[in-house]
Amino acid sequence: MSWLEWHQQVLPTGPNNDADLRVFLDAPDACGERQDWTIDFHHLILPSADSPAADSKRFITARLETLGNVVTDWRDCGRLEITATSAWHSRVDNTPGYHRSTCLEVANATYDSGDDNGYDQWYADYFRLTLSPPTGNYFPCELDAWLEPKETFWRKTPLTGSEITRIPTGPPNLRIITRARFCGGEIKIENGPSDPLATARQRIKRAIGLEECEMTLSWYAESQRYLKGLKGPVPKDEQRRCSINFRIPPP
Amino acid sequence: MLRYREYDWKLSPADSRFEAYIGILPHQSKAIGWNLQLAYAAAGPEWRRCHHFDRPMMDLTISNFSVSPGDWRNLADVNFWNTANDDCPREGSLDTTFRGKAWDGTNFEFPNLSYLNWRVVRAEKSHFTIELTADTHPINPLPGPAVMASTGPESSEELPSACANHALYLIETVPFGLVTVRVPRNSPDPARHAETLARRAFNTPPADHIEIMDFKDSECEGNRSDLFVKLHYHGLHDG
Repeated sequence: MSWLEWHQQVLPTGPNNDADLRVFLDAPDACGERQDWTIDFHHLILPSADSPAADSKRFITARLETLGNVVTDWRDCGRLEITATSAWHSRVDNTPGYHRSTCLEVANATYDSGDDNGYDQWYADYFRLTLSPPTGNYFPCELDAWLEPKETFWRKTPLTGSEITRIPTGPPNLRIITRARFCGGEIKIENGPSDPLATARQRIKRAIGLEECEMTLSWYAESQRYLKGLKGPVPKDEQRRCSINFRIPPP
Repeated sequence: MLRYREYDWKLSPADSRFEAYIGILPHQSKAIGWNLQLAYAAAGPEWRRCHHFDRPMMDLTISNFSVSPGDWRNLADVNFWNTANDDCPREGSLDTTFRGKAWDGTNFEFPNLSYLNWRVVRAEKSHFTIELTADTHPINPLPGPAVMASTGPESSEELPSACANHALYLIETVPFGLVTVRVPRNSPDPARHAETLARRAFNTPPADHIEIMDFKDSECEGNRSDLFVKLHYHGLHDG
């Protein structure tokens, strides 16, 4: 079950609108922070009585590329409270490591069988996100965001003076109450371990306390082989650095 | 941590590393070259509404500096501090590219920071912490040991006032990341050939990832005749 309010209008949402909470764990030889969390919201908006097309589908999605938190146990994400002040943006943006946007990205998309598809993007640099202690791997989740259209949000020049610390007035124009399912993530393994899957399992457990998960391994060499048109399994001498996607299967 | 002009800077990990190059005749030492690449973009809350590619950027390349031959770990001994009085400095040459605003097609600057002091202040496994100053004219070298060897580059609050005298100051940790080897096109196994040459030259371990670059359509005949094998170590590097 979920609840969504879009520009002060409560929209009917379908089932299975859980958000996805994922973690990225970098290899030990990476510079900077090696743990990063991402959350993706996706809501199917049910058609209303005055919907123009019976087979029209509308989705509202939201993504926060980095939550800026580091935990030793994945369950500790249930104590996460983000208020995206300038201090939060400063802390997260200055964390050593790969650049990740600190703004909430939202899409409002409509798909019709005809040509009348709608797609608009919104962004927010002020929002509040709360995760509460989990039941199983599901976290109660609330999001309030003050959205602006893409066209007016992005700029070529920096914010100045009071713009940097400005907090929007008025109510949020996106509100979501849902569950966030911790569904797994990705871990990178450097060249060296004779059994990357076993190594990944140990490191995931040590990093975030996750014991059981399913894994899929991808060798980095696969991309080179694909470009050359080579098919089949990666030869042993090319099995070096890899990326492992791990997931917690849904109940 | 980089101090240059009024910005807060954040290092781009994928584009920052020590890298080496092995020419077609590796037994000739002059065919081996070393570079240090550092790439930064402005960071901080004032930039949160600017796409990353619209932020001010700063790229630094130190090329053709000397490293004791035989092992990549000899990077730990690199020390070109207080070389102003050397007759033949081997600290390499510094090229900088700076853009203070979103790119408009013309607004790159190439600051002339040719008076260079730099050194490796700490080595930990595959990563090296470097300290560097660069200026437009000679400035008395900094006294004493490395500024932040014990505290690390993240604690900028403890930066001593002496660093403010320099046009550019940085202390940063980067990996030994990339070796590019030029191999003949008719090599039966270019990847293995390249790794063998790198191991002989730098005592490198097996590479994390290998890319083979083929410029057979290049206008430069030299590029067409050979393959360029990129050996990535300790991560992937977009060199």
